[in-house]
Amino acid sequence: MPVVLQASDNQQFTIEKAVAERSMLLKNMLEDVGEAGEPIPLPNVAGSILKKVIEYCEHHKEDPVPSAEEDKDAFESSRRKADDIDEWDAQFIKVGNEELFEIILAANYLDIKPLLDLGCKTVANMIKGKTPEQIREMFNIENDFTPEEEDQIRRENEWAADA
Amino acid sequence: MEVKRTPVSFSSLPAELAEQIVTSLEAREDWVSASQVCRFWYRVLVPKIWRCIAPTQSDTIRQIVINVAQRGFVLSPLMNFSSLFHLIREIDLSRMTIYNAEPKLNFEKLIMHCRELESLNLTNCLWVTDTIVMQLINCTKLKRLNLHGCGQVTGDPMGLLLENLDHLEELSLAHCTMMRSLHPAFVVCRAPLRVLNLGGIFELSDMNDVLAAIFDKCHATLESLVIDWNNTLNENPFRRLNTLPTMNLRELSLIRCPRLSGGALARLAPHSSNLLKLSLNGSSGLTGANIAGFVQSTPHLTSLDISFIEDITDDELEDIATACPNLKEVKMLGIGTGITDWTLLSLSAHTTGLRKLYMSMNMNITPQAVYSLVVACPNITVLSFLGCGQIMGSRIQQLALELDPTLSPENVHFEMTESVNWRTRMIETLAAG
Repeated sequence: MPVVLQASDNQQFTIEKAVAERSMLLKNMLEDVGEAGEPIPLPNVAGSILKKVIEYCEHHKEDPVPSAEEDKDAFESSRRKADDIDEWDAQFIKVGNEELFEIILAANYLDIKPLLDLGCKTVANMIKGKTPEQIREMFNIENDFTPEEEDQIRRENEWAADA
Repeated sequence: MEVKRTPVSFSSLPAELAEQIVTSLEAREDWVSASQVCRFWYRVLVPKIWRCIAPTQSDTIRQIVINVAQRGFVLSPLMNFSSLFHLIREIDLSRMTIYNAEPKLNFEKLIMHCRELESLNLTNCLWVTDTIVMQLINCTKLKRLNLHGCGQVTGDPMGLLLENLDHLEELSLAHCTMMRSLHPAFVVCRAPLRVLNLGGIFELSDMNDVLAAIFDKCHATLESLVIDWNNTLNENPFRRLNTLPTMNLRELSLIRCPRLSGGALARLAPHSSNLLKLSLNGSSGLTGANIAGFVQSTPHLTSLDISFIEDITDDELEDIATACPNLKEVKMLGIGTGITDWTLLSLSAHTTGLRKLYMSMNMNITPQAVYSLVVACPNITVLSFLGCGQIMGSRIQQLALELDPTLSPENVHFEMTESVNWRTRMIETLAAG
């Protein structure tokens, strides 16, 4: 039985149940409502982003669902290696900044943990080795420190760099 | 219909997502850099940066403290400096390159400020003195203290700490060779010790009284006990165990305690039903029968070291293998002539989850039994048969690979010397003895 998803811009997508179930949100919904066949509205996700998310779920539909223990291992290993990203995933996530953040938001909303991790790791990789100024520029973040604070923080942390 | 949306940027992410991204940075340099981006990132990252101090350079600790001294008075609108010290949970100086470095005055100052410290590792910091250890009384939240190899520290300050640090769970005084007496310290102990290492304190004269006090004070919490290399430890303190509630021992190491006898093990048995790791290497007062009897009460055991316990027999080893089917690592180097292929067959039959087996210096083992073991225990990654006269490295490896082509030679290590010399020498020794 296929599942129909409706994005915020009313675009509809018909996908296999196994693909939809990569999302814990949809999996729980489908368990609750049974298979009514009605389109499921996703008002927080735009069509273009939903299409991308579905592409990810299609590719990963065969992946084993991690058990609680493996989940812990996976968590720890993901903390250990931010650059340990699968090649397909790496190609998939090569998108503009805005789209990347939209994917992260959608993965969070739809509760697709591996995609959320992928998004966060990707952003973390972009931050790696950059100066504070470069990071602000890249993500368009406002510097809300006073000059005195900035100076103090720099000194507070100077030892940490060579620790 | 196109829904109008504001463009998404980092700043518009919900706080918990931004936090998840920022905390998935791994390198300390990146935390430092990122913490200077804006107030939000600073708030998320500063606790992470300050949580653990683990310098690898000998002068870094000095630098920290100079920073402290210079700027301790600065009150920041964000976070004043002394509150940064409250963020420190772990200090690990075990990787400092110069053990004799002279950071001690500064370290004392640092410790005085670290009221929230939970973990302190001073392994091999030879500059640590009793005075410094005494300062730790201010770290009332301390859970883990490792003074391994602090060769200046005596038993004197330990009573103060054990009486007052009532969160202290893990303590290592291993190789604190200046310690002569610890009984007064453990008699007043109120710390809920879970993990305790008193190995290699050669000059400790009151170990029997110390251990009796440990059982009295810490039986409710103690899980791991290491008392290696002790010449005085005998059965006496273990007599206490008859009258105490059941303990939950997980790990027990009594390596090279020559005065230890079977009675000690018998008294430990009721407290050892959850024991996972047992090391009795070279405690020559014990016999194979003592050990085989003891492990009948340790069905969960995963690691066993009975090296150099002489004259264990095949029958006793079979009893051990039957009683402990979960064994993953077994060390039985040099245990004499009583061990033959039958021991390997017992292991093959009962402990099929075996991963590592160290059996060097056992002369009666033949290659045939080793093949059977490799076949029966598919998870074997390490086999060590150094100086087992009948076993030739190349031949055994070749046959093991024939039996199981999925084994790759890199994963199976057969430690071997060319056997002829060993064999001759061993036979000569035996004849002479």
